Amino acid sequence: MAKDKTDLLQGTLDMLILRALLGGDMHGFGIATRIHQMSKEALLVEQGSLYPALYRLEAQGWICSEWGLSDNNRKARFYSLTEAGKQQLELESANWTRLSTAINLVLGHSAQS
Amino acid sequence: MRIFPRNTRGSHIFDMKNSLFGKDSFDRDMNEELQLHVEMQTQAYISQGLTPEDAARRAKIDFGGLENIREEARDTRSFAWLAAIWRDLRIAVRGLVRDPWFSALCVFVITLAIGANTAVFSIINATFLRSLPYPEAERIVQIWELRDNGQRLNMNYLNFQDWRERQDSFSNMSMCISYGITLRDGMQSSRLQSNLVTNGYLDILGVKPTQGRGFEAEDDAPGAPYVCILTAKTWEEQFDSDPAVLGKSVQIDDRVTTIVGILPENFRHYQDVALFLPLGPIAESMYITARSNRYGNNVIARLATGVTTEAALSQLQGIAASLKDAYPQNKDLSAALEPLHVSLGQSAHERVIFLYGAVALFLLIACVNLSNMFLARGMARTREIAIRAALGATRLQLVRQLLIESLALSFVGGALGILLAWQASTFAGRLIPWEIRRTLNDGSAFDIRVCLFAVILTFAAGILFGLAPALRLSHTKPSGALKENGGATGPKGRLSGSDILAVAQVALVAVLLVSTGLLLRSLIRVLETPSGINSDNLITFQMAGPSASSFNTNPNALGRFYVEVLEHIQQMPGVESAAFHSSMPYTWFHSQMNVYRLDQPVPEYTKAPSCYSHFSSSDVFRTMGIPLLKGRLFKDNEPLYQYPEGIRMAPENFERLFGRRVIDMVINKRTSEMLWPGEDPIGKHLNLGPPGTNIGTAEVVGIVGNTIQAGVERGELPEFYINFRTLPSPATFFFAVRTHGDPSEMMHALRSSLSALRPDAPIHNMHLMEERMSWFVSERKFTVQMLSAFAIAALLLASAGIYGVLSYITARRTREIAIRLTLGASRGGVLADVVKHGSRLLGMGLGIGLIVSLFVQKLIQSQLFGVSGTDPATFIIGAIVLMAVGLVACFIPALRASRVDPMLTLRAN
Repeated sequence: MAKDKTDLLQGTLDMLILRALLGGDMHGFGIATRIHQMSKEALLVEQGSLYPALYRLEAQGWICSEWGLSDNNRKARFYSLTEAGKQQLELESANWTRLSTAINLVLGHSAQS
Repeated sequence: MRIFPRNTRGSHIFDMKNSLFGKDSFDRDMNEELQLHVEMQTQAYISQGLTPEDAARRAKIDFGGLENIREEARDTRSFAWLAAIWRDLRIAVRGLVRDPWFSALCVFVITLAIGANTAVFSIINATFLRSLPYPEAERIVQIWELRDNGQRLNMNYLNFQDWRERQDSFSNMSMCISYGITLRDGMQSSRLQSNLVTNGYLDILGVKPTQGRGFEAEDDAPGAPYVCILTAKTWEEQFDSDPAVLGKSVQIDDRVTTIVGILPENFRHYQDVALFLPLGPIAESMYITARSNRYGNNVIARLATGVTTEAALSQLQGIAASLKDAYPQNKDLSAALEPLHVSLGQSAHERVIFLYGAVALFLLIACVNLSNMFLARGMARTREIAIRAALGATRLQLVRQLLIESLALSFVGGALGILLAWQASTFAGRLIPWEIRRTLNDGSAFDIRVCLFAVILTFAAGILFGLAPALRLSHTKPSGALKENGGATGPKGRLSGSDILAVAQVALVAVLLVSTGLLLRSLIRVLETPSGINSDNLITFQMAGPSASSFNTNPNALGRFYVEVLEHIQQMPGVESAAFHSSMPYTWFHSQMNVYRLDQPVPEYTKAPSCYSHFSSSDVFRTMGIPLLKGRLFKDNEPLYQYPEGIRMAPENFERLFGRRVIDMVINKRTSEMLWPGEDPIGKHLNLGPPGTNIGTAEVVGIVGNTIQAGVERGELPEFYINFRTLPSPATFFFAVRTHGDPSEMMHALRSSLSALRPDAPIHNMHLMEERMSWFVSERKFTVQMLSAFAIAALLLASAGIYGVLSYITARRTREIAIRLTLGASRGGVLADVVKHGSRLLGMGLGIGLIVSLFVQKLIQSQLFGVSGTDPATFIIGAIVLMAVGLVACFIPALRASRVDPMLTLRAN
């Protein structure tokens, strides 16, 4: 079930991660928690999707990572947004807005008929 | 959250380290990261009030299989593309399962197309690509004498000996005569096929006896003791695999022969053969020791190391040229040579290549059709694709996704197709020439090469029918497609992509229909052509009477045997009429003889006319149903000619043996036209035998109708009939028996009655004439049946294609049609409009297809019979059939369009 969602919404998860990182560098757990909070607990990011997505985004050069210490002094890997990542986020957000408007129109329309 | 100052170069260092130290360091990092995640989750649960144990457990469950994630993360890094393809594949499968009818139809079409192509390729593979099961088989060649007019001839024994002596291109060269013999062992006698071979035959094939010895040079010398080598099958069937059989003496025809060897079980000879005999000791009695007789129906040789076929051929041609001057019989003779596997495959060449053309065409039509179906389906999914594009999928990703869908279908269909072809391989194997089929082990026509071919073809087909729609659909612009409402009206007058595909399909089907039509008409012509004989209730069979070679020493025994057996058959109840006959039509056993007019100068040796020679009993015309056209038939009371005793049967004695007698001859219409064009041949005299030889003078007493000797395609050939009683001579005789009632009962009666009469002369080769005639058309029939099946399937496919295009167009234009109807357009007008569009596609495809057919017919010319390649009737009928079926496909969507309810449609919009 959850896998299906990530398959179809791969682009979306990438966008959400980028958006979460806009607020500052974070480790994986932090990103998941942040998305959970930002969506008013509607979206739950599965770890199984999160880490592959992070590696993928890193490979694409939209985020970069470095090792640091977490709040409780654990060694942790922190991710941060690159310039390219910021641009990508803007692009995707714009697309998303256009798309969701369009989808809403469509859904609204088909609900009528 | 951040504690350490950010080191901008850090990530690069890590990347470098990861690539340098590979998987290990990456894994370590990842483990640590994932471990941390679990710990943090545990902390989060503890802070929610769970016990540390529960929290840890929940966190671990949440996380799922650690290994799974590691795996997936690793893939993301190293096999990102593979992971993506896997994901695309899952999506594709899900999508296709959601649309089962569409998928099933696609798979069905691919299965048929790939199955047919694979099956035909397995024939091509076995016939042309696979090497024969002999060591270094590619070095084995087959050799013929070649007449200047291009006709390949059986080899003359003396010429063969000259060639063999003078050549050095071959490590070995051997002549072989296929010859039916009677094997008698104690009380048992059986009729078997033997190969009479000169020394070295088995060495050329590279086979050695597993028991006993092979042939030595001495075995092939004239006067050598008779020996033979058995195949493993004969050893088992005739001698119960008795090991004591080596050294045992059996009787073969009238010669006591010692069994000296047994061939290995896995030896597959390309001719049907039960045992091998050296030719040398019996050459004399076979009448092959003259320059004019050519019985060497198979000469093979093994190329010496480093010698090419071209070099060997030119050497043989040189030798043949030098023999021209020495012997008048050799004046127009040269040499021909071909690798053995090429010459064995020859007979199937055109038919198989042509059939392959047809199935390939079918595959192409199937691909075009699937392409169209995918396009139509894709159009319905424009929004899905648009959403993907909007979510950031690149064009490449979209193309990949769509291609994976087509490939997924293609591979399911391909796998089923391979299974289908495998199942059908025995069925399709009928098209492999007999000689090659004999060398195959069961099912070995279907080997790894065939499977590989099928897989490549499947892949190619998947790409072929997936690429066009994928490229077309990946152009989808999110904004346009999402705004569009399904009500848009397309640009009129221009052909869309799917229109072009429909036209291409129709054109291909037209080509297939016309070609099949031409072959179907040829088949009908072949079946309609009168055979010249009446095959109703006509039984034909052979009996192993005194062998032809016994004629040499005891010529009168042969005549007595046939006359005696015939008289016995004529007495049997249920027999309407009976005869024996040489050069029996539809049996492949034919002999020809030179004749020439005695009232004209003696022709040059090589220019003497030749006819199919029948030595028959007097009742042959009534029994075979051959009509008398002019003059009279043979006299019934002719005495059986007795040869003078004690004179050797040799050319120098012919004068004394046959005397200067004048015997009756009946000729067929064709001979009359050939020898006496515009004249009355009755009462005219002919010399029997080639120039310089006289075995009697014949007076023409009657003219009868032509008969078909060797299949309708060879036409009606010149024939003559000699009353056997006036000139008993060795030939391959068949008995022909016409019955009053059920011939199958008569067959039984004949078997039991004749085996009681002559237990030493087994009956063999007993078949109804009807059956023999059907063998001659069976291959043609089979080819036409297969082609018709493909043509019909392709026609249905193309119709489905047109139907699909029109349905799609009308569905898109529902709103426009509704508006037009509201504004007062008539339903008939709407209907006509859609049909017009469909007919335009049909017409264009048909036009192109018919033009292409004009070129294609040249390729199948050799397969046509009695019908011109540009036969207007076939073209017109093909066009009508295609138009008719195509228009039905147009009418269904057109009717649906004209029944659009304007109110409903417009309200919905």
